[in-house]
Amino acid sequence: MKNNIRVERAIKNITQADLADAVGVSRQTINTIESNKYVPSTVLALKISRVFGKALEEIFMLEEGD
Amino acid sequence: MKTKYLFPAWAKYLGALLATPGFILGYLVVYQNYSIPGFELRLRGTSTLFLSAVENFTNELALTLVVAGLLLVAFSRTKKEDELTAKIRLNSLYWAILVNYILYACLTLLAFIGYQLKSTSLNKFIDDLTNNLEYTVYNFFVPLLIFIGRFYFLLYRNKNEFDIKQVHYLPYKPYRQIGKWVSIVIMFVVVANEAFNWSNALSNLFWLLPLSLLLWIFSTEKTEDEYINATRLDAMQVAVYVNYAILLLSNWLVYGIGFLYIQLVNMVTIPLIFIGWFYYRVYRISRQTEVKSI
Repeated sequence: MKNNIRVERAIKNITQADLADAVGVSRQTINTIESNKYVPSTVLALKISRVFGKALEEIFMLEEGD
Repeated sequence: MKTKYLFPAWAKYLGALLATPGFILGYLVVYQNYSIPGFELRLRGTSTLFLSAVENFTNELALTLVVAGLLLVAFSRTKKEDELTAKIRLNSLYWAILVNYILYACLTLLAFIGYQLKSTSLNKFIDDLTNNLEYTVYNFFVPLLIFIGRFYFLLYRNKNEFDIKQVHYLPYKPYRQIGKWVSIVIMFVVVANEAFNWSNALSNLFWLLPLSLLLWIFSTEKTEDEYINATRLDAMQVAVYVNYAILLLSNWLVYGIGFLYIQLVNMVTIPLIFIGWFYYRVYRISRQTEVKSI
């Protein structure tokens, strides 16, 4: 699974730490998700998309092979 | 996925404060035969061959300090506990148990080779380690030490992101079947042998039990999905908790030769409790889905 959290953050102009605080995780966790090394739980994914005010599929998408 | 049953973040420091004097005291007890003068109670009227009348509690105190301290360090929250740190914690725990038993396997193999080759230097090395079953004493806390090392290494190796290492499992076929049936046969033979006193050689089979249990718990289910995997990791935490709770209790309640048995059984309690709890959970899940599908 990949995501475009980094792009969305740039649009909204918030840092990883801001996003981390908003969804209640650590900054390292956001970074690990952004670099596609960790697939967040559904709860966390929904929280993140709510911060950006977008639908889940606009931020997280399946990759070839998932 | 939040890890349940964790201590608050400050417990880490308390744990370190307990474990450090515990290790020093433990070293003095095991290698210098030290005991705190007067720290004893008269428990029985007369001494027997296996149980002395007066019990000194220095070794109990050392073990309690070490185990309780390490438990606090191992299972306290990280500064910002979230689902990823929880995942890393459980993965590290599974990994630590694996490494612990692989170390044990190497030791067993070395002992066997040394015995076959009659190599004096190798046998001397093994004897030093196995003298008075000292390595079963190590087994009380080495899994925790490996886990703590692994967990904090993965958390702090990289400042910016966490290092996630997946746990790799053996395939269901044939390892699950081999592990399961060999374990069951060994347990049956060892228990029956204790009861009927068949032969001394058979009781040595016990030393293979940790290894067959290792195969059992490190091979996947027939359908190993996300949920089964999460259940598996949770069950390992429960197993470690229950194991150490029993150990701390028996440490204060069982003495002399009785505690030697506890030391032996402790070699296999983590995998055994794990298997019991894991299959209980999987059974519960399968029951639930059946009911809902009606």
